Amino acid sequence: MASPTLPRLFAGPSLRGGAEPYAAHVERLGRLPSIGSGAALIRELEASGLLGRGGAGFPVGRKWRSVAERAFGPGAVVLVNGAEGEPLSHKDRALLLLRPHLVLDGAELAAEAVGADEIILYVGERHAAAARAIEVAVAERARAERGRRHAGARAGIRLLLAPHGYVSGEESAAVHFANEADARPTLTPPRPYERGVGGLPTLVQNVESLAYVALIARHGASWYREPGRGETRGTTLVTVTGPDGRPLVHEIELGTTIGEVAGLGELRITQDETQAVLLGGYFGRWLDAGATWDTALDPASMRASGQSIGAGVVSFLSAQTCPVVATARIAEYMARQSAAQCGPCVFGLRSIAEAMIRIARVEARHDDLANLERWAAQVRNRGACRHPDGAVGLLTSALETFGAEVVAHERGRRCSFADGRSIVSAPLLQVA
Amino acid sequence: MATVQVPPAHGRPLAPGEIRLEVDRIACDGFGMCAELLPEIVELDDWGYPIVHSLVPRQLLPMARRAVDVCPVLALRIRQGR
Amino acid sequence: MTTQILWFATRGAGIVSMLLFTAVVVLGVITTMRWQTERWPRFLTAELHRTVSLLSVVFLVVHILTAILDPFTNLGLAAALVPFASSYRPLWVGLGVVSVYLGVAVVVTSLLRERVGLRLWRAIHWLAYASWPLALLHTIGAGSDATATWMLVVDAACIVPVALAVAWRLIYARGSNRTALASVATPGRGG
Repeated sequence: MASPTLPRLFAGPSLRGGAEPYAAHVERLGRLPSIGSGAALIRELEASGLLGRGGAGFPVGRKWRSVAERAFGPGAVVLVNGAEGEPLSHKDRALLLLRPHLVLDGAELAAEAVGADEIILYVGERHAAAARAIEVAVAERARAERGRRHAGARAGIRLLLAPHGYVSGEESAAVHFANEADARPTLTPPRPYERGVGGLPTLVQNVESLAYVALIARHGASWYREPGRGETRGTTLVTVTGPDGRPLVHEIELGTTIGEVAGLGELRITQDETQAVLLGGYFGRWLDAGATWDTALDPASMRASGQSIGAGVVSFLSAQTCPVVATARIAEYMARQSAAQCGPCVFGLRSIAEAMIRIARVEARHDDLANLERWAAQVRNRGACRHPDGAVGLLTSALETFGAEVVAHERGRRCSFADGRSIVSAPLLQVA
Repeated sequence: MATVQVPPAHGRPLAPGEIRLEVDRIACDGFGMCAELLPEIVELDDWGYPIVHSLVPRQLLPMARRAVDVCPVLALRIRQGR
Repeated sequence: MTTQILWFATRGAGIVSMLLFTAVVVLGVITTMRWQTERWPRFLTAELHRTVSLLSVVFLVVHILTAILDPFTNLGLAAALVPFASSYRPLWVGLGVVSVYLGVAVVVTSLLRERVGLRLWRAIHWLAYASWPLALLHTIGAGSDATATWMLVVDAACIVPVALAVAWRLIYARGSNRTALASVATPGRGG
């Protein structure tokens, strides 16, 4: 996707060289701009229309404003969310590994703008290279800026390794871990921006969002809004997974179609060889390839049709793979990844997974299909967090998109992909 | 139960006079006493956990208070619109 | 004559209180085990557990007051309040005193459950399993009727149901859904 405006986050030295060192970062982009007043930066972010990149797509400027309003007096905390619990997403790791100073710039700007004295770097414990890179980067900055006053200098930085698991990156789970070393979601309200780490208003922001903040602070809102094919302006990172299961991270213009994304890099996935697209990772939805090849990855237009770009995870299911088996494996993974705090999630997702596995194995019970629909309705919106909703969303999209295949399995006929492989060795969507 | 009633917009602000029985999803352990005392507004799902599908009618408020009292894990609370 | 009444009252109230306490423990186990039938809902067991415990406290108070006021026993306030300070069978009376203290903690935290919070309430409630056997020992050792047949029947009526209930709980341990929940992998628990 050649475009004069790209790459933006990954502009700079070759990615093969690993993390961009602080000296090179400063030479390329200049020192961190002093933002004058936090309010000015928040207004700039609101003007840019930058949406959060953690999956929920909440406007970044508005979030900062909510925290800043409450931080007056008691202070605040910035939690940089690089947990990346979604196995199909690799963009956060890539950013931390290759452009850690963009992320740290964004974090320091955030701390300055919302009045935070503490920055927590929350990095997935299995993302060892990324964690190392950010640690090195923090040390680099400390050495380079020793004695110099600059934006965010007063904020203490500490690294917390997020426990491996799907829900660890959830906002309240991150705060819970920072407070009590327990990365399970908590009841909300109160939300982190009201009361989070240490009881203080906490800004939980995805690493990619903060990286864009670092650029917007230097180049301005209009610069950010230049690219974009549709209503939502700007660029974003996507993690693309093809039939071979290898994830590739790309930076695209918002509004790029799914089909164009398929042709990126060395993947060159064609519509013919694709059966369906999984948009949004395990938390997302299956979409029929033919129907969505021209869908623009534009949050505004997608929301209008009831879809979501989520954390920018686009996975292509090969036409050679049984979608029922793939769905069953995801359902089983999501059931296992429940934080096990709420009955409907634990028992509901487990029942759903067991039924899906039976269907995938062509050993369905007579009421499995009917139960799936019923359980989906019972489980939705019944947890303390959105994990069961994501799992149920994936299930219902599978029943819609692969209805014929599901029925074929359920009725005891092998599907068109009868390859005899056991569910455990099913290819694609390697489950962590 | 062929269809599942949807819980009334969980979290939406209550109009004055409206009463909602709220369940702490993490504390709830599926004892089901709330459904026994308030079958009019609480149904149990397939695993014994409560689905509060309606607001509390005023005449059931005393019974709702009784349910809040008896819940062995203090998972219930009553919220009234003001 | 009056002293006889007090003496009868203290033994009678003590025994009734002990029997009621036994019922409370059994009802508590039944509540935890989520037992129910078509005609007997779970909330009934829970509410009965609470009501009977308050009733048992009433008889306990009568038992303690009449024991103190009875001139024959020579038990002063100190003996009732300070464990093992009694001149009459100090060990057995003392066990009763300790049992009462534990029981008071359980009852008070239960009455103030919402204020106290679930975790603290639950932790203290476990003391009931200490309070009951101490009360039973007190019943057997402090009373003057220990060897009477009817008293032995009362003792059995206390021991057997609790033993059965506790055994039931240990064997089926379905006490909480949490047991089932805990068996699922919980990846988020770090630290």
